[in-house]
Amino acid sequence: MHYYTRKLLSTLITLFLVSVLTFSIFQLVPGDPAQMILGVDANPQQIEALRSTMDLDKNPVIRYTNWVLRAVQGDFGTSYKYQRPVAALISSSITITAQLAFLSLLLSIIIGIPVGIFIAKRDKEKKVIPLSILSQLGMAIPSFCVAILLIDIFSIKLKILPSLGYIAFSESPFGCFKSLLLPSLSIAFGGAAVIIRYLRSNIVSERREDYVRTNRSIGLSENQILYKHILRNSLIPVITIFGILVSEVLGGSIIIENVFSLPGIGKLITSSITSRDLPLIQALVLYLSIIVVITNMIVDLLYGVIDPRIRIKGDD
Amino acid sequence: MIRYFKNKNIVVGLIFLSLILILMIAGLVALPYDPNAIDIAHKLKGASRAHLLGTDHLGRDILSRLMVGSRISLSIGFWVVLLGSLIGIPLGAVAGYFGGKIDELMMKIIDTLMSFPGILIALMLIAVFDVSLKIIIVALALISLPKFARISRSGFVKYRESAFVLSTKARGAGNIRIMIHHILPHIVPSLMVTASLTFATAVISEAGLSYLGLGIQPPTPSFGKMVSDAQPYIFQNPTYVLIPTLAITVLVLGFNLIGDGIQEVQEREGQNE
Repeated sequence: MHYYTRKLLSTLITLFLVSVLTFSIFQLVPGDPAQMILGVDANPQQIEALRSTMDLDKNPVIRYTNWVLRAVQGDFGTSYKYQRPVAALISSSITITAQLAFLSLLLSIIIGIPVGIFIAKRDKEKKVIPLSILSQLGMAIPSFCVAILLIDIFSIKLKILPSLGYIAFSESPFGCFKSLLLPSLSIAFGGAAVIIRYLRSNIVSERREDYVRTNRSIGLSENQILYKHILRNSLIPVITIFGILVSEVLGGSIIIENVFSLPGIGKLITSSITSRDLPLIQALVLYLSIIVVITNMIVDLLYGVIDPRIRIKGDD
Repeated sequence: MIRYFKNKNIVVGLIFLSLILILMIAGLVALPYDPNAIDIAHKLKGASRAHLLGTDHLGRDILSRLMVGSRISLSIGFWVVLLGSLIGIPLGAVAGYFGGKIDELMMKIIDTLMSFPGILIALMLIAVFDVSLKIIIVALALISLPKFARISRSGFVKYRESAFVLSTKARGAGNIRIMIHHILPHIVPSLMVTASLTFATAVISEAGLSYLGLGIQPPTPSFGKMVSDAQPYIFQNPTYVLIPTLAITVLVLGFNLIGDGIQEVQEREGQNE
């Protein structure tokens, strides 16, 4: 089968499985959801009426089909707690999470790629040891600890960046940037470490290839070999970790939005868990995993365009 | 075996890990204070002879809480690795060894599990079943399972056609025997790498959940909860927030370094072959 068709088909199957899994797990909730919403005082008729509007009296396959059909049309049901359509709640907080995720990814790349190249270039020298340690720490310190340390330095001691709250882009673009800078730096500290690690090991293993020896023997300098030949081959595979990175950044923003009180998707998820707002959680889980699945598909397709060998070789 | 102990990363990693182990064992042998004993009169005190690491916002002894917290982190990591590997490795082995339709189906399920950002799976299970130590362990094990399955699968794919496997098969050995006695030993090092990285991820995820208030429930001490307790007092007693941060970092760094080290030793061997 054609590479692109195969990838699209496989994405569709994954999306189907993701939705089945999300749906099934929420069927395991102990107790009757209708009873939970109406409380203990409700009479049986009321509960029966709500059960039928919520499809609870139908079999799981029909319920799943209805749920997916509505979700495709943008109807994720009504939040128990806010008594508002889930879709409206998501769309009002997604902008913040999207901006946060974008800035975090950008910072991860801006920090990760140059540092990764620098460390790989001076692999054997003593002066890169502090940088290597820093990138190891980036993977080991939890993002919320980095966030607290950054707040301590930039908000409490230096008083130059806000420690909580969000300013909308339409209100003040610079204020928006400032309110998102510390949160995205906290996430990017770990993101950059992932890139550095991967890029460095790519460069180090590329260096052992035959073409590098050939280039050396015809008299090219190490820098020429690195920037003209090795780097091109080492940077392309970095695209493949982009999917992992997006997943990490989204996961990270769930925690970081809570540290900085940013009213995004992450804040919505945690508050919906404490209030056991099940339709909202279900929709958010589905929504975020669809983003990750689609990103992975784009990465795969892009990789096939950039490196045609992949299209012939297949997945492994 | 000795070559593993000659690797710098492994040695440093083991030292870091033993720091936390010593903390845990010391806590089991001689816990200085009841970790939940509140003493408001002595809150937010710095280090002193009575409280070696000071006291928190309720006057509880930080060292005692750290000792109990390390027990929680280590036992969660342990159970997550055990559960994840016990389920993930056989699944990957069957998929990789037999190939075909079973392989395709299993890999599709594994890919699906991997499409959820890890912490989201945990939050989803906590939302459905309510917070408990068991659910946290099950959730984190579910996140780690695909990693074990993938590494195990790729090992079994690599060796299933190899000469020693084919010759053993020709001598009439059964599939299960070949899988356990002949292939599994070859992929133990890669599985060890996965196990130590999984342990690190489990510790960091538990800390994150506890920080959000959706993990270990108070008053039980845990590293993540200690960080969130300390956050408002960063002004009065900055060491209060640094201590649990340091504990998490040392533990995670230890396991990451051990994982890196095993991988390095293996790669070097691969080159020499």
